[in-house]
Amino acid sequence: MNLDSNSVYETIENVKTDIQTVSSKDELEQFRLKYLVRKGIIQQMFEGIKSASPDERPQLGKALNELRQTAQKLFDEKKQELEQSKTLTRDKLDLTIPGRRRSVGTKHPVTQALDDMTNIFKSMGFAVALGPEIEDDFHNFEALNFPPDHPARDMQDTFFLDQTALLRTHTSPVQVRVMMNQRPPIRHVMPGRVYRNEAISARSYCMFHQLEGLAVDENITFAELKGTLAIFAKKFFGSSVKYVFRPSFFPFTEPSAEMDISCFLCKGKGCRVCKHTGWLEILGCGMVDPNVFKAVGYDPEKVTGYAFGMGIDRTALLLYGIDDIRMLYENDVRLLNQFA
Amino acid sequence: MNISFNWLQDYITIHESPEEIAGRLTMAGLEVEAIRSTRETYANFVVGKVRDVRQHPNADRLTVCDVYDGKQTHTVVCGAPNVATGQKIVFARVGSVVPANGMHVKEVEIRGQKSAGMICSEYELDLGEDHEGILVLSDDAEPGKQFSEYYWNGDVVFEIGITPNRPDCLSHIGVARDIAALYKRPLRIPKIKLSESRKPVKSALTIDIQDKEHCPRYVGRLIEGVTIGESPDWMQRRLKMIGVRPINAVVDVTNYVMMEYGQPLHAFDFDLIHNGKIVVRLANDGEKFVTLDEKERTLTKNNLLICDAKQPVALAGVMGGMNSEINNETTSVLIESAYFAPSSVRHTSRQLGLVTESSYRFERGVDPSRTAEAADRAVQLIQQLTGGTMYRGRVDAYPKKIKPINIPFRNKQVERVLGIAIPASSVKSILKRLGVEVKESKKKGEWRCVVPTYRPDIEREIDLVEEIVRVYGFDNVPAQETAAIRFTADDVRPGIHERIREWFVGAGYNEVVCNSMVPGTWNIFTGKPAVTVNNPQNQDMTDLRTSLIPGMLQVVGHNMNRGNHSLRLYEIGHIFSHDPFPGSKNYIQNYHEGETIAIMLTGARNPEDWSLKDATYDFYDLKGEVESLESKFNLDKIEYNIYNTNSNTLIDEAVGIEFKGISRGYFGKVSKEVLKSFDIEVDVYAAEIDLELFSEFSHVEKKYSEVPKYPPVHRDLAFILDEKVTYHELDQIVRESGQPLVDNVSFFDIYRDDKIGNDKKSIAISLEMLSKEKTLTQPEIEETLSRIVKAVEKNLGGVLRS
Ligand SMILES: [Zn+2]
Repeated sequence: MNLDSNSVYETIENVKTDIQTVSSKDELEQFRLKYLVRKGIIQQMFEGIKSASPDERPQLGKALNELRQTAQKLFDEKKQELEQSKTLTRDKLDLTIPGRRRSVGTKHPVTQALDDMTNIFKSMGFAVALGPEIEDDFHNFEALNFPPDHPARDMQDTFFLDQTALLRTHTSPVQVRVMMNQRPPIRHVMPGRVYRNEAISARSYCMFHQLEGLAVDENITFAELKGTLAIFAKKFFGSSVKYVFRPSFFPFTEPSAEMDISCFLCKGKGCRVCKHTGWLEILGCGMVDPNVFKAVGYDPEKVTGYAFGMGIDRTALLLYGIDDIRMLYENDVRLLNQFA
Repeated sequence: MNISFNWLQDYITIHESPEEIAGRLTMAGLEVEAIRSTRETYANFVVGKVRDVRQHPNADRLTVCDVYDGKQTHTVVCGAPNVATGQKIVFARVGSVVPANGMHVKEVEIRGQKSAGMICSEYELDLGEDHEGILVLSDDAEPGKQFSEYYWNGDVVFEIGITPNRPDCLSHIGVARDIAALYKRPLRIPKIKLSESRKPVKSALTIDIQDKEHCPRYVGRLIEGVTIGESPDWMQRRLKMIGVRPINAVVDVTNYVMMEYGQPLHAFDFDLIHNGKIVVRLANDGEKFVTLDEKERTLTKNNLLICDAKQPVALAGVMGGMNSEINNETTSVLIESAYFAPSSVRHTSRQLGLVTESSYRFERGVDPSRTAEAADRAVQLIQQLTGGTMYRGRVDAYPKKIKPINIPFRNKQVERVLGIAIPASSVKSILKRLGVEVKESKKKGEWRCVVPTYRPDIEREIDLVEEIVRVYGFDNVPAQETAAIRFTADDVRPGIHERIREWFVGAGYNEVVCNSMVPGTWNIFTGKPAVTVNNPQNQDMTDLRTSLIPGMLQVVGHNMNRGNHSLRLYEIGHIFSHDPFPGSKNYIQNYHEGETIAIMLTGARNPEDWSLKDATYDFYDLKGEVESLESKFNLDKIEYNIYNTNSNTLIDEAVGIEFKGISRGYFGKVSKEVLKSFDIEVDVYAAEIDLELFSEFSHVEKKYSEVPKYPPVHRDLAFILDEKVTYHELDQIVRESGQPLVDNVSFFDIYRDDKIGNDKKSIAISLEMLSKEKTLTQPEIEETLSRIVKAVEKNLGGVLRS
């Protein structure tokens, strides 16, 4: 037999391929008979050393030893594997039996939407600020330019705790706190829970979550507000989203606007959810009213600012196609598990 | 606010479709929330002619009619007593939907007689209350004509959501005025021509305003010889179209003028006004007054009253009184048109819980310059509708003149706020179209703007900027997608909430979100003084939660009822109390608020793993979760103590979590009584931990300590100990006596049986020994082990189990 180290290494590869096809004891015996017995391929190759030239012999011997060790090792491993699998699954693994899983954790859909939105603004240089849920009239209304006995207060049905303390009706009081705690430049988002004394139904609940935004500096303009929110809408709802700003009224911004986006369910064609308008109302915004700046001790001649606020829960409902807002707070785990 | 599209066209010429106008209004801040078209509401309702009426063969009270609808004749069963041959009626074809009740008109069989369509009553058409008889139309009605055209002239109603700053648009003229400004078209205000008698009004009526702050202006007009009857069809239709119920001609006129001008009016029966005298004054505390809705109201000194020489006759701007209302015998009418201070009307309206069309407009601000004009318009219409003779002139008490305000305006502010320069000529044109008079000022770059009195919302320069961009169009301001940001030092790394949630998600928990408003009974469990809501929505939401656990138990109960038995839940949320608690902050006096994290485990430990299916959660699972969470956030020196459950009865045998001497939370098995109140019959394990522990004390900075170079050696030992010896004690002794080689001690088993003996237990531990300098030798290991065994024997009376 004509032997060289190339053919030895070729045989090592063959051994490796062959062992992979072995899946039963019989097949393993075939393998043993082919390579490892006295009349097997490997032993025969060792015989061949004799006919090799003396200076090739050390190298060949080394290669053959490697071959023998590899074959033996693969054989031993396969043998052990077959014995083990026998105790577990008789002859073969049933790949269709489910693995031993662990439960998959979920964030609540509202938290998920809130975090996703917050992170988009963080990527645009906004920091996060938080505030209390129990507020007073000053922070929730007065500093935000809702004078006492003003009809604008009817826009937000309030839960009162006493003469002045109340459950905040929006996250805007956090704006007041942020502005009173620091000086411009300010660029913050403020997520949180708010309360409205509205009858509970499929469409509304007595509490929900908002994401508030505030930017105050020397050259903040309405054009920048539009641009910032346009970027947000594209990042959150997809780059093909269309948007429109229309005038509205909030006591703490002037001018005030509402932002509508093209309905992401029907792509603007009109459906039940968008009331066949093709548009969805997603947020209110505007330029910070000079009276708010005065209330927090800023000079409206020196700074301008914009603010925006959006309801999270309803947007989450639309996004995920849930038709009853109360389901969000029932916390049935079969619903929660869909938000892994 | 409902606005009729046809009515609008009294004041402005419109070529555009309703949809187009609605879109433009919406883009100018008058959001048209819905468009209701009579053509849609009354689709398939046509004028019909009754050609024949026969007795129904099988029913005494029914008739069978042949109705011609302009194309063909239908056989219809009718139950109305007043149906007769030759009548013109409203015929609902098969396929139509009845406006009053949403019923679909189908071909049916009534007592063996086919009926294809319906002859309609006023009620069914949503035109009035009468549902006994059918509505009979005038003879000239042409069969086949669409009812929407015949009756409504194809009108369309806009439902406009008027924001609180736009009282000027709470009327048809107001909306027309905005359309005129947007489309640069002239506005046609009705020209009022009065035919007055020679009798001067001042001879019969005096007005005495005693409180000019609350009532700056009060106009009175008189008309006598009036006969009270129904208002004509054209007026009734207009009122019905926008949802106002017709009452009688005089009252209808006051409503009509209010919807036309936005000025609320009140009509008194002048014969019931003592001495022809009107006095405007504040009420006395405790004064009683019966309003038109027949309710007796107790007033305070903040409520403004309209009185005659003897008694109150109206709650100013809110509602008239029973004692002077227009009735069928009324012949003389006093028309009141006034300007009341918005805050005064709002105060009274809120105090009495009485919101009317009138109070709604006054509290937002009516136009003090049109007070007299509205009164003139009203008497003109009353005379036109009911006859009667007008007194000459009006009494116009105007002690506190309201002048248009004058605002300095710098055009550069437009660019500063909007980020886009609008040419001065365009700005001026917009302002003029809005009725703002623009005058040059001595100061350079500044104008003086005189704002009409119907726009009380425009008080400042910024309000003018808003008006300019509203008309200019928000769409025409570019969206600037670049910004020059001044950087701040604020931390924008993931916040503690996000990092904690990340851990829970990785650990396989479902996050729940529960209501913060809870029934009072839930707060009894925690013993913390609870914050209560003054105006709760119902009995289940009277308090603010003092713990997250009860809310989560409700979630557990809810899930159990739906067959979800294995639960692994967490919540992060605010809790509240009147007393301070660890981690609470005191933002608002008397209220303390903090955030906690709650964990809840029940049912199968891991339902997803079939090899562990039967294992259910126990105390040590919960403790392990708490420990893992704490180690994830590098909280050292946490101590677990027996938690005092005297006040907090949520948990049985609770373990307290103590950090630097302050209790930061607790955990354990939820007590049976508490579970019972939530109808839960299985064990539930719960923990609640103050979030501040993580936000304030978690080590954020990471520091590497050297990983041992030489492999550790593991040895297991089991000791038989008295029951009273704790694992903690054993652990400490082993660590001390095992120095310096013992690097770690871990628990691996606890075992009890008769052979060991009563009050005894066997605890098995695993030791990890290593040296930083070298590989350990067998003698070194043996020596350490025997030292440990002796120490345990000596200090704890423990015996090594062989
Ligand atoms: Zn849609």
